[in-house]
Formats: sequence, C-alpha cells, structure tokens
Amino acid sequence: MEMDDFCRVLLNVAVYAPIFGSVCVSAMFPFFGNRSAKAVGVAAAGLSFASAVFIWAAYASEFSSSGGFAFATSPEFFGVALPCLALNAVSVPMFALAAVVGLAASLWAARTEIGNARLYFILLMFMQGGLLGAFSTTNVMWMYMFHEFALVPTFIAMCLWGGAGKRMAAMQMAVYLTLGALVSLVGIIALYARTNSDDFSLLSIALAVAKTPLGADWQYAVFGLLMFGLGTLVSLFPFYSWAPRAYSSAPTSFAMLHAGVLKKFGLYVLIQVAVPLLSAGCADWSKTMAVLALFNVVYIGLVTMAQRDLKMMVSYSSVAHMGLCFLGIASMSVLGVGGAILLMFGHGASVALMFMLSNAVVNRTGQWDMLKMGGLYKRTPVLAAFFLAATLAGLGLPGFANFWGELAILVSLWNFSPAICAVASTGLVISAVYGLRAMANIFMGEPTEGLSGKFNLIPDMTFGEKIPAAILLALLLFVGFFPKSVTAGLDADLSAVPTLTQSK
Amino acid sequence: MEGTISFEWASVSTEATLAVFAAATLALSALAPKRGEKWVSMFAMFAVMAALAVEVFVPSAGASFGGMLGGKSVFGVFAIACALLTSLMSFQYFSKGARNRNEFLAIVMICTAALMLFVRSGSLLMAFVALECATVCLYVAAAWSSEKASSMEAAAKYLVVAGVSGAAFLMGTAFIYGASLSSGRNLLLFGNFTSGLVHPMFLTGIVLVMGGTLFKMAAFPFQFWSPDVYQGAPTPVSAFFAVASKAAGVVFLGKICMSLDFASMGLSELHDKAVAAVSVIAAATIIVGNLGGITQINIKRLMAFSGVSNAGYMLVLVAAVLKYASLAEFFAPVLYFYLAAYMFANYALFFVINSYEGYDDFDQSMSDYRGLLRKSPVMEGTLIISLSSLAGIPPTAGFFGKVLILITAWSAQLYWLVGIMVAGSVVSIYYYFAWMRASLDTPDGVERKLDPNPILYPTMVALSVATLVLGVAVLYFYGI
Repeated sequence: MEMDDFCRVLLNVAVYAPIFGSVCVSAMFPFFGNRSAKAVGVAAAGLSFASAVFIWAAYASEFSSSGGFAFATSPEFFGVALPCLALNAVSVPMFALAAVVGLAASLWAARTEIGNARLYFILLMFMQGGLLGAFSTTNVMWMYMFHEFALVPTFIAMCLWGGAGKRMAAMQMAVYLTLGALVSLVGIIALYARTNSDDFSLLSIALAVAKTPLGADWQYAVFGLLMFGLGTLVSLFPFYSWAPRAYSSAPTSFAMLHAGVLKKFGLYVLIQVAVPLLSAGCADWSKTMAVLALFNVVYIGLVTMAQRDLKMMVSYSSVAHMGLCFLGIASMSVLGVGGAILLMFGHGASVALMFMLSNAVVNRTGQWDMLKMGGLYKRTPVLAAFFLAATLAGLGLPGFANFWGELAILVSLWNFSPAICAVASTGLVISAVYGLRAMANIFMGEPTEGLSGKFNLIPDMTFGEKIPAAILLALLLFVGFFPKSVTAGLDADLSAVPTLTQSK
Repeated sequence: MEGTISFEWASVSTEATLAVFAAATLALSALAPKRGEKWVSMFAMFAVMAALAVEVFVPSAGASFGGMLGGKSVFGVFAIACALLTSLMSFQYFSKGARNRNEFLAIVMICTAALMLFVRSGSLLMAFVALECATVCLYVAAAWSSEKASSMEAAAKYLVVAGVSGAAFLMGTAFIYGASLSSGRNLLLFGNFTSGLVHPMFLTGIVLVMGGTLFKMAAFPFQFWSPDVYQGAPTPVSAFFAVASKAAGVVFLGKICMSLDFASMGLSELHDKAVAAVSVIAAATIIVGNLGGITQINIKRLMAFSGVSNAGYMLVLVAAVLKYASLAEFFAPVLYFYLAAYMFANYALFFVINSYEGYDDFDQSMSDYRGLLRKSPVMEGTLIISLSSLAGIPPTAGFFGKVLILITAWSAQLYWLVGIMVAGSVVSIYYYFAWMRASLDTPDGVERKLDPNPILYPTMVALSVATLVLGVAVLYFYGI
C-alpha cells in the first residue's frame, strides 16, 4: 500500500516538475540567467526521469500479469481538480520513454552553446511536462490538451533556433498538426456526445459504451476521423510532408522530443482509446490503414534512400518506421498491437539518439551532405560506435528493442494477410540499405577534399555528449535483452476494454 | 395596444450612472483649466468603475417599462469591462499626441450605456433607439484623429454602412409594426415574436432586422466595412468595435433567435429554412473571414478579418440554439465564455498594437514586429499567449471556447458546420502564427519604433494571465 501512495506522488512529480520549472523560470525571468535556467531544466528532467523509472519498475513488478490502470491520482491545486493521472501497461512504456528522452534532450541542450538558453529551457520544460502528462492522464480531453502543449513551444523554437528553411517548415508543421489535432478533437467530441458520458474520462466513456453499444456505421465514421486526425500527427501517408522538413530544421532537443516521443502520441491514442472502444470501426478501416501504412514503409523508405542530407535521411526514416507501427494496429491482434508499442518505444529511443548523433556529425564536419563526408572513423571512433549502434537498432537487429517490435508486427501480419506481410518486410531491407550506406559514407573510406583541410582538427565526442547518448543506448539494449519489462502487462490490457485495477 | 407603462428607474441605474457621469465629465472638461485635464480623466475612470459597481451590486428588476426593457444580463459587466479597457488604452493614445481625451471618455461611456440598453431591450423600437445612439457615438469616435485622412475615411465608411444597416433595421421594425396593426398584438415586443411567425410581413421585417444586426457584428454578407474601419479608426476605438460592438450584435441576434418558437406554431418547414439560413451565413462568415485573413500583412486589417471569423464561430452557436430549443440553456454560458476569451485576447493584442510609435497606426504591418522578443519580453509574451488563444491552442481560454461551441454544434447535429469551423480554425493558424513568427524574426532596423508605456504592462500581464486562467474555470465548473 505504501508503495502505491509513493508512486502516486512520484507520478505527479514527474508530470508537474517540468511544467512548474517552466512557469517559475518564465514568471521570474529577470532572476534567471542562462546557466541557472539550464540547471533548473536538467534538474526538472532528472526528477521526472528518476520518478518515471521508479514507477516503471514498480509497475513491472506489481502488475506484470494483471495489467489495468494503476496509481490513479487526481490531485487538486487550490480547489481546482487537475486531470486524473494513472498508468496501464500501454502507457507505462511511453511514459518512461518520454522521461528518458526528455532527460537526454535536456542534457544535450545543457552542453550546447545556445543563444538565449533561458527561453530554450522554458519551452523545452513546458513541452516535456506536456508529453509526460499526455501519456499518463486517463482523461481523453487532457490527453489532447497535454499533446497541444508542445505546438507553440516547438514553433517558437524552430523560428528562433531552427536550421535551413525554418520559416516554411515551422508554418507547415503548425498547420498540419492543428489540422490533425482538430480532426481528432472532433472524433473525441463525437465519442463524448454520443455516449452521453459524464466526463471525458476514458473509464467513464468505456463504461458508457459498455451500456449502449455503438452502431457499426457510427463507429466507422468516428474511427475514420480519429485515424486520419491522429494519422496526420504521426505522419501517416499521405499526410507526412510536414514531418521531414520540421524535424530537420528544428533545434536538436526539440527534434529528439518531437520525433522520438510526441509523434508516438497519435499511435498511443489509437491504441489506448480508439481500438478498444471502436473495434468494429477499426476492423472496417484496417485494410485501408494497412495499405496507407505500406506506402509509408515502402514509398517513404525509397525516398529515404534517395536523401543525401543526413538530417533529412533521419527524418524520412522516422516517417517510414511509423508505417510498421500502423501495420501492427491494422493487424487487430494483441501480438500486433503489442509489437507496435514495443516498436514505438524502441524507435523513440533510437531516433532520438540518431538525431543527437547526426547533429554531432554535422557540428564536426560543417556539412549536411553525407557524400561530402567520409573517413570520420579515424578521428571519432566513439561517435562512430554510437552511430553504428543507433543504425543497427533502427534497422531492427536482435539485441535492440526495435527487433522485438518488428518481429511481433511481422508475425501478426502474416496471420492478417501474407501479401501485406511480404511487402512490409521489404521495409527492413530498405532501412538496412540507407542506414548502412549512411554509416559507410560518413565514417568509412577516406575523407573527401572538402573535409581535408580541417580533418585533423575534428574532435571525438565530449563527455557531455557521451552521457545522453549512453543513456539512450542503455535503454535500447535493456529492453532489447529484457523485453518483458515492456510487454509484461500488455496481454491483459490489450485484450480488454480499459478498466481501473487497484493494487492487490 | 398594451396597458399603461410604469417607470422603474432603478432598473436602468447603471445606464443612468454612465450617462450622468458622462455629462459631468463633459461639463468638468469644459470648465477645468488645461492642467487639470488628467484629473478629469481620473474622474471619468472612477465613474466607469462606479457604474461597474452599480451593475454588479444593484439587483436586477426583471422586465420593466412595460416590457420595453428586459432584465440585466452578463453583457452589462462585459460592456463596462470593455469601456474600462478602452479608456485605459486611450490614455496611451492621447499621450502620443491626440487631443480631447475627456470628451472621448464621455463618448465611450455613452456608447457603452447605449449598447447595454440595446442588448436589454424588450422591444424593437427600444432596440433601434439604443442602437442608433451607440452608432452615432461610434461615428464620432472613429473620426477622433480628425486631422488624419485614414481616420476620416474610416468614419465616413462607417457612417454610410451603419446608415444603411440602421435603415434596414428601421424598415424591418416598420414592417413588423404593420404586421402588428393587422394582427392586433404588439409584435414589436420580443415576447410576441412567435405569434407573428404566420404573418408574411412580420417575416420580411424580422429578416431585415437580423440583416441590420449582421452589419453590426460584421458577419457575411455585411462584413466588408470592418477591415477599412478597424484600420483607420484610432486603435482604442478599433478594439471597442471588435469586441463590444460585435458582442452586442451576437447577443442580440441570439436573443431574437431564441424568441422564435417555430415548433409551437407547427412551422417545421419554416424552422428548417431558418436554421439553414443562419447556418449558411455562419459558414460563409467563417470562410470569408479566414480566407481574407491569410492575405493580410496589415495588422489592423488582420484583426478585422480575425473578428469576422470569430463572428462566424459565434453564429454557429446561434444556429445550434435556433435548431434545438433544448440547447438554449447552454447559449448564455457558452457565448459569454467565448466572448470573455475573445475580449481578453483581442484587447491584449490591441494594447500591443497601441504600444507602437505614432497614433496613426493604420499602416502597421507584420514586419514592424520583428525583434519584439528582444525589445519587450512582456509584450512578446502577451502577443504569443493572445494569438494562441485566438488560434484555439490549449491551455488558453480560446481553446475551451471553441471546444464548447463545437460540442454544442455537434449536439445540434450540425456536422457540416463543425467541419467548416474546423477547417476555418486550421486556416486561421496561418495568419495568427505568421504574426507570431514575424515577432520572432531578427530585426533589420527599419521597423516602426516601440513607444511602450510600462504603466500598461500590468494590464497586459493581467489579460494574458486571464487568458490562461479562464480555461481553468471551465474545468472547475463543467468538470471536463
């Protein structure tokens, strides 16, 4: 019992520490300099990280077989009820991922030279608190709102610290994300209005659905709204064009959080809300979803192969991998959806690592174009090792978390449709091609002429860069060797509608 | 036709307070020496606050003056809040060189009283008189920078279109009076509207009256005046146009729609047509406002188009309550919540606009905002929070306002209107965020200079905090 209460407190700490830090620094901005703002940011991210890891361990040990929402807490703030927070087997891994990537992004930003670091950390903390909240609340409206916390900070960060083409990319991102968010908001409102639920809580909506089953046509319509709305947020084909540009021009920490964590939100809501409540609608849409997702895997995969710009390649590859997650959901099986969660987790960590490392490469070479690099291995063996590990994780080598996700998805796809499974598996080959080729272009061979002048001055990774990279790599390997830490409660949670399970 | 009229003066205490103090302000400013001008202004500000106190603390008497006036509503507080903010903003306008500040404050007070009477009116005659009184005040206020061509142009345009809309309103009132003569009931009273629905002349009249009201709130097809007028009028007046005058139109239109009970007269076909008409107007207003907005780089014209699209969102709510009378209980809470969010965001933005050098800011463009982040973090924060609220990004109040309207419209099964509203909101991101992006750009030295008045910073901060905190009110009362 005591353990439970402790976890409740930690859950609140994890979500509100970054938001509180952000509000404090912005309300008292004359009193904070760049260094103290960095310190507050890293401290808040560290607090969230420690709390989330503890909660993850507690959940895995106590609820490994039963699943269900645990640690439910609805705190009050001066008489106003804050959203109910609780975690189930679906949300625990995403919550942990958000905290780990958040810490890595903050550590990375703390060791980088940034103009106006104070504002950078205000925005980063606010976004991170929103992400942790989005994955831990059981209130569907609050999921949406926490997710939207990220929009304006990312927009501001892109405008101020963005790379090439930032103005266009920032606007495109804002318009697409709002489109996706509002379409899914209409879906959420439809669910709320139709079920006559007391509030937007997932549990009351589930109860109301259990009382009055929803018609098939209605489910088809609303699942369509949610699929395309949330799909736009996840860059489902054909609504993906905002993503590569936005990620490649966003400042590194924001790109890490955006591509690694925020993008998983659309899939998370589909799995947590839409699939259990609108299963008939999901079944009707599954073929369409699978075909669109195949475009992500194959077509975007081929586009990725054609990229010469390192950051564009990483960005496109993250769009391509989202296709596999959608295929897992389309397979409509516990195995497939569970695989999607594993892959979301693994991809989140590996793509964040990849963004960080490619930023390190670009900083060292002053180049975006991979064909103008080469031979870096001689100067930066540690960076090359991390890069190789991240690439192998991304293409699904056994030993990394991504492998289990891709394996489970492909196995369940075989039962769904062998043809789709066959086409989808070409995606693995494609990702091996672009991943290994990038590795070869950047690190192997001889340095190109453009690099030759300063080649001998290129430093290896600094200690400050190694720490966040090591954290993310450790996470990938840990789940790769011990996937039970993520999947333990999934069987129970994915085969039933959401319920509140209190501790034993 | 109806019985004798009794005079319950207590029920108009707020309006009377405003009118009396406006007269006193005029007299004082005529008598006071030049250096006492600011004390007269302080007196006027306290008078507006006194009116607010009267509005809040003197209990409402319900219908009075033989049904000519209805009871008090939240609009009174809303209008006086707008008057206070406009007066505050005008201090900076006058400190930049404009003249006759105390007369301006008196005009704002009279206009506020007239708008309050317009919204409270229980009869079309009363409504017309109040409306004209407010409109005349606005002609004068729009022309306040009378040595500037832009201000005169705005006033002249407003004079012409408001004249036309007033004529339409009066024509409609005359038709309805004609219908009253033949039906033997005073159809000018809102309470008797329903019984007039069978009368073709009444229907013609009510359409004309609603058309005149659409002019006031700058809704399609009568929105064309607003960009020109907002652009040319002094900024405090533009803010008053954008918030108080528009709000009065929406509340009045909603009141008309809710007094028409088609079902009890068995006129379901007419009801469907009426709902379709209001829905189409709402949709067209949203589309015109947002499409007009995306090409604007002039800030005050942008605010006008933003105002047009917001009028459209509020018309969606009107269409919903017109369709299902059962939703009428949600009308006032949802509309006033939306209006409060709209007021906080709009006034905050106009405060920022007003902080630039020179009081003829008709040509202020987005590029003038470059580098605002460095020049004034308070104004930048105000700008970002208020623009997010207008764009409907959580956790600002504007988001909750939009969600409440979407829920109401979805419950009224106006699905296509929900679609238009969502599409409009997505388009609006483009121009709101373009302004935000401009303020984050690096300055190139040719921007208009800032002339900030730090005394007004607390007001801007208060409006921004209100925008953020008002959302919490929804959580508190509605338990989302």
